[in-house]
Amino acid sequence: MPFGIAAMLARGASRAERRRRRLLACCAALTTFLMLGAVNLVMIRGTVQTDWAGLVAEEGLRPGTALALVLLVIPVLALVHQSGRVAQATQERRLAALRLAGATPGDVRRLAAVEAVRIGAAGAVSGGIAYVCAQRAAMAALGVHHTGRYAIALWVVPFVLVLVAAAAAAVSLLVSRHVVTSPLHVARRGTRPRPRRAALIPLAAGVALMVVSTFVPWLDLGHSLLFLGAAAALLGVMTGSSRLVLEAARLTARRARTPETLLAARALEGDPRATGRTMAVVGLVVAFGTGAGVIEWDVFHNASTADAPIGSFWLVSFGLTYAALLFALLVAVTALVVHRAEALLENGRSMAVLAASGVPMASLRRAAARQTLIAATPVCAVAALATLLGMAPELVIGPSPLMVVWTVGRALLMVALAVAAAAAVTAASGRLLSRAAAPEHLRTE
Amino acid sequence: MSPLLHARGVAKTFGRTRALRDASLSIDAGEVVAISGPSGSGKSTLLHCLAEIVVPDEGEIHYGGTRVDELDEDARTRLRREAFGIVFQFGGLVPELTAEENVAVSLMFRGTDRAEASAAAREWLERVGVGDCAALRPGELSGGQAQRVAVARALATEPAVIFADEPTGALDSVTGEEVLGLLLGAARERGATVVLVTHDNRIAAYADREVVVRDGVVSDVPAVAR
Repeated sequence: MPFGIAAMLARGASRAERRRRRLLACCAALTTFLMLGAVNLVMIRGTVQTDWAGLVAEEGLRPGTALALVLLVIPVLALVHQSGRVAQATQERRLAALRLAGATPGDVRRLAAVEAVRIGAAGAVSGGIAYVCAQRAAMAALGVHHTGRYAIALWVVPFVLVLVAAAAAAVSLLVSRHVVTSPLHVARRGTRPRPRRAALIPLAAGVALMVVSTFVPWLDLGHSLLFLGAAAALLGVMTGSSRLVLEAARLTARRARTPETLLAARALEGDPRATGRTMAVVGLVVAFGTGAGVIEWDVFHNASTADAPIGSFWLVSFGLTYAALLFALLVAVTALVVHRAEALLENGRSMAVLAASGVPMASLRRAAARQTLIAATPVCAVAALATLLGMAPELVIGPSPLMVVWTVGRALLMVALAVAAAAAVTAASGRLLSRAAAPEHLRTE
Repeated sequence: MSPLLHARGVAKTFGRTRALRDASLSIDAGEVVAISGPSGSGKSTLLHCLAEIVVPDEGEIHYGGTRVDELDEDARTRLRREAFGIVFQFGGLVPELTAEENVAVSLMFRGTDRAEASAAAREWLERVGVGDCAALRPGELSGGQAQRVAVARALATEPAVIFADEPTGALDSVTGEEVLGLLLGAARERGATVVLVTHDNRIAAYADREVVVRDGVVSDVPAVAR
């Protein structure tokens, strides 16, 4: 039953709904592409000496590169989650109508899952084809000799496709788990509990472990503790960002002197999780960018001490790292735009009432920009600070005070760039706000 | 004496729907006018044109002797902020703000500082009978309480004209009459003009004068017929 109805619903989708589906399919394609890349890397055996492709050709580095590709799926998943939420409002109305037509709550959930699988599968197949074609084209362009050795085994592809489609269904069910549809209306199940302070524990524990690792006399244990600490700190940035957003919003609301700041802070206080999720990815970008700065200093310093040029391995590795960080930042800020659209779908009417009462659209735009600043600044600052604290002993006993200046400067630059990117995207999405809050939309007849 | 608010030959079309045709209406200062009519007749469109929320396709709107339909968006926004108060059927309160903040924020947008705006907001909430709900958010208020907060928000800025679009439409009859009593009482006390859209004859009876909109055309209801 759900397949037939899902097909009927798909045919009658609005333009906005079709746009959202395309976005979801693109995310599924991107996830498949990255996952296939990671699986591909893990399956390659042996080392080949190359000047520039060390991250792929050297056996010891491939797992790290594969992990980096898997980590890039995180911002994509955040975007998928946000896109799923933006569809809720439309979907909920439609699902309530279906309940009225006789569908059970189970039917409604199945319909949503079938739709997600359909879109996810379409995107995954596109991503799979794109990966295989892109890899072959890249190898031909780069003149790679052992193509059979590097090319992905085709039998792996269907497994990844099924995994991505299943993940799409899981995300759909996850997003709709707070929604109860009855024949008469749609209700959200009680408000979700506020993010807790405990969510910040992994961050504090991670930083502590990183600091301790410097003083452990056994090198292997020290490295293990460092990696464990870094992983815990990154997890802490992800889990604790919503709490940070909530604290920043509460503090700002208490001290707000202008209506724009008050509106911005209260909006964040009302739903810190949605913005927190997006900001978690932005925070991770800042943490990785700050950490990369330390390695960069090391490489540049060693090269200048030895009076030798910087190896192409490092140049390529840094280039790829920044490309990956840029990609993650772009996906994260896209998720931010989607979140704005969702918030406007939910609260556009109250914004329109404010505009009708004489609040200038510029003030509402300022409120939106401040909302991003209030959320982005603490998360990015804490992510950078945690990275710096974790590396503090290294920096203090390091070879040069210039390294401290370089690393701290780098951290500040990453925070400024990330916050500016988030604010710029919010400003650029001002058209969404103008459209949603136009007082003409208050017409009910 | 020239009318405070005057519409002449106003027409408005949305897509293929002709919402208003050659609508003319004059409203004096301090008058309470009800605009009634069946659903879809164009009464809300007329109110939105008078309140400068939508710009008519044809005709003129004058406020205080000045033609206002030709003003640019900024000037119309300023006019709405400084001279008008608006109450909608579903309150339209900002869901994340408390009741007190919802009222205070409208004053803050007019330049009042936060402490003063909060004090004024509390005072207005007391006056409309929801003083004990000041710290609650719209989701925690009943329909009647939310509409009282919306009334307080519209009145707090002491506007010259209050536009109310079906302000009791979502309330039961007793609560609706209470809310309307508050709105009209406070408006009359200050000599403010009220333009009220309703499809309920009992609500229209509270007004000094009633006009009816049918198929986009406005006509006066004779006093004897009310």
